[in-house]
Amino acid sequence: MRVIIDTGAYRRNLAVLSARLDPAQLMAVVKDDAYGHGALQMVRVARECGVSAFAVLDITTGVSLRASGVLGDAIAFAWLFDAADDFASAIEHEIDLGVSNVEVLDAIAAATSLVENSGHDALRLPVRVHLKIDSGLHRNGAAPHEWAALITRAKHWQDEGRIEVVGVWTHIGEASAEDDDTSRNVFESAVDQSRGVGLNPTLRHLAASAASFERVDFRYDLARVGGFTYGIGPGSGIGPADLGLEAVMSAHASVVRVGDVDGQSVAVLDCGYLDGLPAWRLASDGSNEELPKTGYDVVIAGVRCPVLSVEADTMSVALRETASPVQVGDEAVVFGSHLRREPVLQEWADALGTVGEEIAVRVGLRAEREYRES
Amino acid sequence: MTLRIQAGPQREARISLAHLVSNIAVLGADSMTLDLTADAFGHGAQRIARAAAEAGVSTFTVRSEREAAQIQDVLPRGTTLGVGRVDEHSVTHSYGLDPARHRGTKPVMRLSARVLAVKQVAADAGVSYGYTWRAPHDGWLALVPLGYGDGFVRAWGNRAVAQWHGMRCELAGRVAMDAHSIFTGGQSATVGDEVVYFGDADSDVTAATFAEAVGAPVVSITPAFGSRIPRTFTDRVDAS
Repeated sequence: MRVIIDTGAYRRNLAVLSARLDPAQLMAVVKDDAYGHGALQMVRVARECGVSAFAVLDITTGVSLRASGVLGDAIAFAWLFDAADDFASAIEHEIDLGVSNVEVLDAIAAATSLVENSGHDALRLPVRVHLKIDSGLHRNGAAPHEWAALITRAKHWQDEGRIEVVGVWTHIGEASAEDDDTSRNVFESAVDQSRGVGLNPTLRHLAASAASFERVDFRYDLARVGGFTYGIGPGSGIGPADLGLEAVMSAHASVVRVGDVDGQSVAVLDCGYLDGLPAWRLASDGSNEELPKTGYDVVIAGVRCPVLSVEADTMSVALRETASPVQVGDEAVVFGSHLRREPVLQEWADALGTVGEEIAVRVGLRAEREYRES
Repeated sequence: MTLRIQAGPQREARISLAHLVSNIAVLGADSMTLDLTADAFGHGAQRIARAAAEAGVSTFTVRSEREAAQIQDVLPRGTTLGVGRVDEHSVTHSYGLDPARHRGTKPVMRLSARVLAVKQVAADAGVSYGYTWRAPHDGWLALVPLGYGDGFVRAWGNRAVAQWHGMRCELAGRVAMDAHSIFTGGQSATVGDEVVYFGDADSDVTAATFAEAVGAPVVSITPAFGSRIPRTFTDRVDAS
């Protein structure tokens, strides 16, 4: 399978989203090799579009991107690590660090001494830190009862000149508007408390794609936007067309056989679950109920063809009567852009009981990638 | 060219070359063709091919000419490479994906990760996006840095179990792109503890168990881990 990454679509999405979030800043999420789109290329394009903050997930990714030169002086924000990670490297490469506990804060402070003593001239103190509060998701982030200890410790290291608390952040559950409001209250309280001990976080960030798009009061200083920048809709029927966005990735395969199966005209494509296409199908409500086999399509010669089955290295689709018959060698668009009347990721995701991001990253990390600017 | 980023060190796909050799012996090295499609189904084609060749396998296959061109250079001398469709039965056997059905085979891949953080939760606390899982009683969560961006299937949340200290723990809530939580009950894990998913010698949980949890074909599970999860090779079957 081959994917085409439309950097023009990415630029237009960034423009739409930046304008919508203004005056809040857009932090482009480029973790997981930019959701399978290629982090180097996406960061380069986003920098040309004026994006100056990137969410990179972990120190290794941040260091690779910083060292490649594409980031320039943009913020690279990492948060997935424990106290044993390579903070010296993070400091040398000026990675902003998202911190959830005192152990990690102390490890960062210890790393500043190490780097300082090594005489590394790239060292820029203090290290920029974003403190994370757990506002209900129960993944990382300090629990509210741990927050006082975290901000007190952070103030200590800030007074020592080791770190600077530039941000306070959280991640919300998006279970319901009420739950999100509760999370927002926890977040506001955490920000107030941090100010109370003398910290001055100027980057307050809480929202990702969906919440930042919909809710003005969730934008604060910055929003971390991933899925929407790639034109991936949130699902449950809402696709890029509903948001004024467009798909950046399209996936392409070839027809390798055409034939009749039980009176049904069928085309076989040369892509399957070994290319990353999901080989399972689950109800979106999490139940294991038996689902009808079809529910998502590919496009061949402009005509939608329902998917019949996904095998290891092939996929079968039903053909309809068309003016010119489908032939071996014809191209099929497995998913793409609504602007070309192709099925979008969200249609596949809704039918399979997942999110478009999972399909994009599974396929994009494995496929041959080609970049085009439309 | 594209940047293929290696993620952090807290996850491991441990590949037992001794188990591979053992599975080959069960099948009979002379008569078998080993399928190296999709980087040997996520096991690493180069090391797998070398260990298999030393165990007497001389015929390999991949699913396409394109993949054949990609791995031609790393094949041991004196072996041949064909192109053909994936034989799921043979692949399941060779890589020990389902020892319960393929008697005498052993899992070649063991998937594990280290606890990144722990968190106390009260009964009924929601976990992860949509709060689709709620704590059955007061207890502890452990956050593990494996997510669907690593090929760890999103739908395993609330459907699969992990093993921590020999105890089976639910995958609590939705698997995110880069992490998921497990519920360790009344006991707290320690940061750095190992959590094992499948392929452990002391457990009957296999890749097939994880496939069945979501109704996926067994050979679709391991290829998805690809290069995102660091591989280590054990048993030093090959000389280098």
